[in-house]
Amino acid sequence: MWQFVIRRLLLMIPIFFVLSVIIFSLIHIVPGNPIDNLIGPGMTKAHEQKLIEKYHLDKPLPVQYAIWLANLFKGDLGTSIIEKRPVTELLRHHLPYSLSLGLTAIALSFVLGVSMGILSAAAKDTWIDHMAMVVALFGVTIPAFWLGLILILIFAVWLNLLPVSGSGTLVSLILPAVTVGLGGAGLIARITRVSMLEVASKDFIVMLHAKGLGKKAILLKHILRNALIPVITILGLRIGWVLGGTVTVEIVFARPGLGQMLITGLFRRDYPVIQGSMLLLAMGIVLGTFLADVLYAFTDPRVRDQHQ
Amino acid sequence: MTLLCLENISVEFTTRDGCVEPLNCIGFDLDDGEILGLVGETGSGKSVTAQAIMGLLPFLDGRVSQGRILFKDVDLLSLSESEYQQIRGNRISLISQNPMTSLDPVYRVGNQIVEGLRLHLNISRSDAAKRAKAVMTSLGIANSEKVFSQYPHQLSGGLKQRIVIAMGLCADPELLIADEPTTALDVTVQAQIIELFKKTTRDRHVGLIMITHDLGVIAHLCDKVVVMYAGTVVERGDVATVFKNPRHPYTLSLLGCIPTFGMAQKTLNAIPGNVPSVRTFPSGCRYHPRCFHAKPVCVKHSPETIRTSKGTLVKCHMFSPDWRKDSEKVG
Repeated sequence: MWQFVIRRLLLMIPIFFVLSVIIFSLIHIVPGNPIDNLIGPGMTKAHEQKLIEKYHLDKPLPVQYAIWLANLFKGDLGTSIIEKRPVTELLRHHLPYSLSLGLTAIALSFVLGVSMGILSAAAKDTWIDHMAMVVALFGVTIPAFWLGLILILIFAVWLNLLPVSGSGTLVSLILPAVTVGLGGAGLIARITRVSMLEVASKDFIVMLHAKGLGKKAILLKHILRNALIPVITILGLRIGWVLGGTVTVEIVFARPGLGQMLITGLFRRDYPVIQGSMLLLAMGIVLGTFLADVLYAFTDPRVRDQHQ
Repeated sequence: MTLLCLENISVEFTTRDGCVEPLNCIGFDLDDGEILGLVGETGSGKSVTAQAIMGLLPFLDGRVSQGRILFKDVDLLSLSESEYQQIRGNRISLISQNPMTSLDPVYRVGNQIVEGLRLHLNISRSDAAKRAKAVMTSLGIANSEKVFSQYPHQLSGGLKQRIVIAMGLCADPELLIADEPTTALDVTVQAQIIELFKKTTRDRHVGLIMITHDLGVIAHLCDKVVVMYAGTVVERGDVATVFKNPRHPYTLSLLGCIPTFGMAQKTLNAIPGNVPSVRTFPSGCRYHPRCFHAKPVCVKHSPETIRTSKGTLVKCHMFSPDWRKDSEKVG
């Protein structure tokens, strides 16, 4: 098991390099550059040239990449060209907002999704099942920003129970977390249901009945544990996605998360900001997948053995 | 004393395309400590019989539509689900057809035995583990300590089958139902497992229903035999008598199908035709399309079960007093 974890960790090193190359080159291929955003009236060509040299933009791309990477290993992601602040400082400021939202949403997705899936599978083909699946379908298909607006309208404007936006308090986390979490919950509910029904049709389930086990014990101890294996995979993928994929929700609720930082950076072609935040988000996805793999091996002994 | 008695059991399954009846009015009985062989081709209803006795049909969209199943004079069909749970895996155990798929892949095999034990016996986890290991050792699992904490996929087919048997034996059942316990195994292991069954059931005085299509196993192991065809019992009685004096044409053909040493080469006897599927069971006697002796009466009417002079029971028109009068042959 440990061998497997260590091997998976080591594998992340080459992934990191490949990612850094892709992120770096993609951004520089996009037309436009940050200097255009800095030039104001009254600036001369000489000024512009000076700025270009300051940010090494005159050098060939591979050299620029090497400089960036070298600084990266020193813990320096560069300085925002527009805001003039170190990117690491910006990330430190924005990351907690994304992390708190992302993790709460994931936890909510998991708990809500799995419970709905269990309920649905246990009451297969009854109205409970149909209701749960319709709710899940809504969760999957409703765009998050729209759901966010509706939730604000209901809970903040009409009922006046929760704040419209903001990010300072725990209460202000509820609406955005529900907004992001519902989509995941719908997906997980549907996967849990299908997976549980599939496991329930296996031979060994009949044998568990033959052992004299009650329905509840079979459902919760045996079917669920087997059915969670694909759910974990989805969950791992969602972890990475939820960190960066919540931009629209961040905007709706005015949360200064990583997504907002990235979008602002993109509009201004603020290379160091884009590179830094994209790298962090990409590593979030890699880490999420890694976590899923470890959990996967933990749940399924067959996977564990394959890696030995 | 009679341990188990099936009276006129019919079973129905509700499927997407309507109702099917894989068992039609079957009956047999079994005494304490007796070994009964249930034999027939695939699709004859052997496994459904086992599921009916275990009360597993409700989980498979099936139900017993008529008849009684008496276990020590208790009608199993009148029990509630929770009362049935007290009996399943405790007083009646099922050993399944396929050891490869009958264990939960994500739990250690030892814990799966312990789970069943603790469900029925009021014992601690460590006592249950001790008992499980003891049963595993008695079943010829050499390093039971190690096997106990392994997962199903890490074990060979033979070992898995032994685990499944251990699971069946652990709680000291009065009746054991073994549904083709050796089909998934290679021949050398098969012989070991059969020996194991003989020894354990005789030692513990456990009643055993052995479901198989291997007549050799029946001859070697069983006291009684029940021959099934297309959801009916065509012949039953004690093994020696039935094998020496087979009466039903199907039993005769079945016995004729066993290749023997020194048999002329190239001629492997087979019964012409196939077992009808549950959706297309023929009218009258269900064996008539494949029977050499069939007459119009066989097509029209289902035969009665008749007691032969040797004391066996046979469900065939040939043994009814009216048979000779009806001289016309079919086909």
